[in-house]
Amino acid sequence: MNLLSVLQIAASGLTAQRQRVEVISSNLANSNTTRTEQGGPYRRKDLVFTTESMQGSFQTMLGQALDNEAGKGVRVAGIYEDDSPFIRRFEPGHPDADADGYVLMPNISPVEEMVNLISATRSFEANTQAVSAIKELAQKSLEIGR
Amino acid sequence: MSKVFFEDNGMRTMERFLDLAVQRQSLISSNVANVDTPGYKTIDLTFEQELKDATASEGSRLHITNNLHLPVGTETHSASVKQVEGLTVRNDLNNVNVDREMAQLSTNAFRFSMVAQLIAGKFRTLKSAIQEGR
Repeated sequence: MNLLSVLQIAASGLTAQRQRVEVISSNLANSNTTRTEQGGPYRRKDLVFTTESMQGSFQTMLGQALDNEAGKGVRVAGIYEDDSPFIRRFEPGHPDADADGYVLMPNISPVEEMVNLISATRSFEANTQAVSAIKELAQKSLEIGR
Repeated sequence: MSKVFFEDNGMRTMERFLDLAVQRQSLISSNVANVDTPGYKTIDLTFEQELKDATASEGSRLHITNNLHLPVGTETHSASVKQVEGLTVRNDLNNVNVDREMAQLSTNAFRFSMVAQLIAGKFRTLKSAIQEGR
């Protein structure tokens, strides 16, 4: 286990949280989209995280093979669509309104998205803290050789 | 002199201390990275116990047949990683507590730099002897 492979773990956390922010941004941007390529309004998207063993140097792989359970990174397992019902809004003048004057709007709650956004930002910050701690350690070990 | 310096128990313990600190760093990073992974459980190692075990084990080193031989090979000791008990489990069955991890992160970095400084000090002593105290 060397410090650079530890850095990979923290980096995987940064990537995963950034992807989460991307999905949330997409949801927020499309909170009023009533027409999509698949037809119908935009559906809210979310993603699932899963742990990932780091594919690394020979030493890392050997350590894993010897059941020396090393730290695990994270990756996005997949993006899924939220199946909750669309919001029906009464807007008779809207071109996508049905016969009764109702328009189907995306199943997005801006409040929920903002909460997720804050959570993702905090997690991202925690990972940057981990990165700077690893950098500090590497710096200290270089000082041994001075 | 080489024996005093490299075979010295203090030096070996310090080496293992640094190895363990790096290993711990990887576990903490893993916990932080997986803070939103459903079902993930916080993992850690008992530092003091592992240090004791690591100092006791010989690891994979070349056998020394002559007193003048220098030690060769890494003293790998696989630490036993355990799930941490007693943390609050959230609805997604994940029990990572970011505050705990941040505290561990700074403790670990502090420990590492402390021992790194001790080792650097030891090498300075040797350097001073080589330069005849100048």
